Amino acid sequence: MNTIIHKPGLLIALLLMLSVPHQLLQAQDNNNAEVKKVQKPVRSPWESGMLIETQTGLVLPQKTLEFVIQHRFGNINSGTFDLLGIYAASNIRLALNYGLFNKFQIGIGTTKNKKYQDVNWKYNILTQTRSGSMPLSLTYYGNISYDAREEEYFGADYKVSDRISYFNQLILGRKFSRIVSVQLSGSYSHYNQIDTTSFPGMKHDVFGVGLAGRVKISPQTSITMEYNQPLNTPDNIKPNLSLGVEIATSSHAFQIFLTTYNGIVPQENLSYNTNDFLKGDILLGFNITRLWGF
Amino acid sequence: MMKIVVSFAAVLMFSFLVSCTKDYYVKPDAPSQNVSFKNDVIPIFNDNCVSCHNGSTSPNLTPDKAYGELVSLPNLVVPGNPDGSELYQRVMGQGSMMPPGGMMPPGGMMSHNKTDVIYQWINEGALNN
Repeated sequence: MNTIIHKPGLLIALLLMLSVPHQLLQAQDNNNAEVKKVQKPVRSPWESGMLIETQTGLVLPQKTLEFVIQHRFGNINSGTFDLLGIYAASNIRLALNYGLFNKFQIGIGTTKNKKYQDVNWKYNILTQTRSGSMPLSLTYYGNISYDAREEEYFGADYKVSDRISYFNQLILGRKFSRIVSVQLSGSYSHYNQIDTTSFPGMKHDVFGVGLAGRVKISPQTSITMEYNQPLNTPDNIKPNLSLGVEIATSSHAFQIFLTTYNGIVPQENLSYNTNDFLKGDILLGFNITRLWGF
Repeated sequence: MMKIVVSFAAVLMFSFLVSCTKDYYVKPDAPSQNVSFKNDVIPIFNDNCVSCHNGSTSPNLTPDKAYGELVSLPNLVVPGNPDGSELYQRVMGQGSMMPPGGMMPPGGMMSHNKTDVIYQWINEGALNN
């Protein structure tokens, strides 16, 4: 020991040997931490998997189950006293979604109107990061729906495949600040059978674009809005304008809104909405979601 | 993970290609002549309309009230002129009389078997037969 102490060069060398690798390791750790920090996704760009009518870029965490209730009352301008459509015919969808893998969820749902039975999926292709290394999120949503009404609704030349329709959507979103999140979407729907006698000019393949956003007014409350425009439908198929309020906790979201769409299933809304908000054909609706983690 | 997603996408694409068709609705044969309001039209109202139009929402289309309501409210039924009747326009989701409202029933259009019966009944004079 004395020998070492009395040889300052050796001591310095020893100290360097001990300290330099440690510093290197520390630097490496810092780098790793930085990398991890870079890859962290932005916190809660959306509170729920849907905003009003359209899906958001939010995908359920793995092993999370979501129960969804979507309800639409009748048009508020029905012309008779039905308490702003509350007594009128309503539409409802009950659904379950599950986070199967990281960034990937699947779901099933049943809807009153047209007795749609749907299977859906959502995959988060790109995730916006807190550091800004990825400034946007990109999500794909799709479904296949089965119209379970009686055979007579499909005409004289009935085939089982006539009941099936598809919906695909790419959602590009960005959380601009703790208050504002916005998303743009491009949609494509396909119906195996269309009725050109009732809807002259209707096409099997319909494209649409959408703009949606939220503005937080308190930690749990947001003002939400949406606009959806079909691109190649006949004149009597109309766009959607929705405005609502969202109240969310860590495991619930409650959304109440005024909207134009009453179909709930996205391809039904995109291809067959005849409600025209310019004529006052709007209706009251709400969505409720509940999450369970496993 | 990526393999699973790619496999899922491949299965999905395959099922889409296999089950994706482009068919058109083929209208069934038109209903026979002499449509009866009581035997042909009222059952349609019962199946599609009365859950809401039962007195709480106008017009009341319950069996004992339907005819009186349809002929008393203006332009709802114009005997001999289905295209000018709001009842037919509503069930077809067409016409210029809206608003108020939209297509009836709001859950989706009735089958043509049913809308053709309504058309025929109005065309034959909208009789209380």
